[in-house]
Amino acid sequence: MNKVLGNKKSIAVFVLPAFLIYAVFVLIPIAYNVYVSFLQTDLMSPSRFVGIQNYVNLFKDGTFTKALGNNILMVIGSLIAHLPLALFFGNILFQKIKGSHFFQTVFFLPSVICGVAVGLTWTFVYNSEFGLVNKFLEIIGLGSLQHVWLADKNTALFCIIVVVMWQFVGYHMIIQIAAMKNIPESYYEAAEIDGASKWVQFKSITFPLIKPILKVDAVLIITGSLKYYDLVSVMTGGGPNHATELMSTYMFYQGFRTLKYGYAAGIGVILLILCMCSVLLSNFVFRSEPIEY
Amino acid sequence: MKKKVVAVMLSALTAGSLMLTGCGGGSSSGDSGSGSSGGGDTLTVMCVGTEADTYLDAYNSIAEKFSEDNEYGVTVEIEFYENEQYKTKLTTLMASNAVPDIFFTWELSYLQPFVEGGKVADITSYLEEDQEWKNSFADGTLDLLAYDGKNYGVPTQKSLCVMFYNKQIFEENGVEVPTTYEEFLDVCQTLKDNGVTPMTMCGTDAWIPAQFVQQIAGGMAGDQLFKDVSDGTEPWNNETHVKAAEEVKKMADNGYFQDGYIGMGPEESTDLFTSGQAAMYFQGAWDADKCAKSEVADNVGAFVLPAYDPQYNNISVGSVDTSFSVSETCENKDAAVAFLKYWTSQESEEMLLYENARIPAGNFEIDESKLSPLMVDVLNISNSQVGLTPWWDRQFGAGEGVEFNNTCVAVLGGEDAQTAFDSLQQFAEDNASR
Repeated sequence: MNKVLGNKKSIAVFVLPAFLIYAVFVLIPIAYNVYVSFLQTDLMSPSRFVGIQNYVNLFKDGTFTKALGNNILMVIGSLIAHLPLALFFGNILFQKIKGSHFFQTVFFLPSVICGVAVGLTWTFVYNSEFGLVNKFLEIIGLGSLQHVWLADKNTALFCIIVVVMWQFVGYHMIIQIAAMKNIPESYYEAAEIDGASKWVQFKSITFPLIKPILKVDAVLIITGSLKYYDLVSVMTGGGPNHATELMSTYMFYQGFRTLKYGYAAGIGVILLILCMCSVLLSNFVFRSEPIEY
Repeated sequence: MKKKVVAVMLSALTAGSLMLTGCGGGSSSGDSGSGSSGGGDTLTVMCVGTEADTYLDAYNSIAEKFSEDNEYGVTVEIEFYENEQYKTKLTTLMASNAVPDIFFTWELSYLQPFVEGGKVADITSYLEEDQEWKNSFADGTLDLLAYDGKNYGVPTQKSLCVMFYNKQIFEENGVEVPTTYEEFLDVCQTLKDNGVTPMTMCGTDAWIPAQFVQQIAGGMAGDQLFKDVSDGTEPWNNETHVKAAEEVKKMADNGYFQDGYIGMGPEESTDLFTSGQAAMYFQGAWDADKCAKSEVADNVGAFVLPAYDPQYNNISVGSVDTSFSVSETCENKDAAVAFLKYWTSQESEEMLLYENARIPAGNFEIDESKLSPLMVDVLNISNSQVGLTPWWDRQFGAGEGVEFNNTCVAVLGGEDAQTAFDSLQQFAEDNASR
């Protein structure tokens, strides 16, 4: 058996089906997308090869740079909520306290709800006439702060970022708790005997040992917020006047609304490059020695 | 052991996240309209509409009646999609050559790329062969769906923007239908002073405030402005556009629209009018049916917004609507055209007019006794217009047209009108090379 599995050819045979599916649904579309991004085309009339013109135009396009900026804000917001904040909640629920399992479930729940449903719910929360936020402000006497949250270009994006923070904080918390559970109990017992406080335990034991998982998590967070689409699409559709446009929603708009598929493909390629860069970056930031327990 | 648990949890999470993304896409795949072949037994029609639209039954009954008795022995099925979803679906199907036999379309720039891509059947010969059918369309309506002198679609209704108003509210507050622009502003002010919402407006769907801006701009400079912007001799940031947008912004600042209109969706804002909480409502005449079937039905009338400059009275935003085209991939084009003929026949158009308050695209004698007073108003307005300017987002499609809409919303949101229209002009210049 070992002989068969050790043979490179037989490995190739076993890997082939999975690789084919991967190629057909991932690699080939990516290659095709890169090709389309060099064209000016609506995919129906004869297309014209324009070289890197689409990319040049993109960086002169105010809406695209705005969308890029919005994506960066989204990444920052998600990183704040999904690393330190999630780690904080995770570390509390990791302690042996009553109801910790229950609260883990509670925190995790929002991330299993479909994004469209979350978006609709929060649209009602932010509604200027009967929304929860405005009503709450009125009740506590801060009626002057009432606002048309999602229709004001200055507040709309932040309102959406808050929802993203809320929705996925539990998801990343669970990943981090899972990593913490992997650390042998005896380390903490030893630390306790030596009189280490909870903070010192976290700083010197938990954090260094879950660093590899945090690395994976950071990659998930950054790429997730770069290609974010659903909440924006449901809550504002990129409006008002492109104020909440993200790269992905702008790509959709350019492709399916204005039929500039070449231009849209260019946005897709930039998105891909940014996602790959973010992987390299977080690998670099969280670099660490392999851990042996 | 623990490691295994972690591994299982992590992979479960990843799988979960994949499913989440899948659900977020919001695209309804499912059955596409490619059931077109089938030996010509079934004709599939793709159309815009949701359960909230009062015309669904009427459309279905047209399809049923045609299916019962036609020389081709075909059955017609209409599939309805929500507006935004429809646009996505149609462009996708177009690119993959899977468009149903007959599809709903907007005129002018919307259909143009599909025509240029060779996806739409040329129906000129059918119209030429049947002069009676061709002549049944009102003057100029077919031209909006003709490219290079060839016809690619037929309209089923005319449409224009009117100001619906609630007669009861007008009476209670002692105001009359305005005949000049100043009178219109006075009416708004009086209503406002009496604590009534003068107008209902929707701020989330950019085209709704934009058509109001376009209407006022038309009243300032006439339809020449429209022609000049269309052929590029007048820039988008012309004085009239800026002034018209500022005018609408002024109305908003004076409180002539309902509170919180900027964040209100189309259904919510329409409901304010149809439940009698607002005095006026500016919208395409297609909403006459919605008004006629609401609780204020007996009290709704319509007038045309008086022009800012009286010499340009009766120039309105309007065009044809609910047009249909036959796809190039349709295998039974004769039957498809026959169905369109049936839809635009006097029989069907009369039903749509009398029961669904549609302004017909054809010319025929109208029996006023069968019409509601509202519809009499609407038809009078339609007949008295001296110029119709199609919506910008139809004339230019997405791109400049949609950006015009966004620009209007930006001005309402507080951006300086001149700056906003300057960037629209910049966009128009940049967009040419994309």
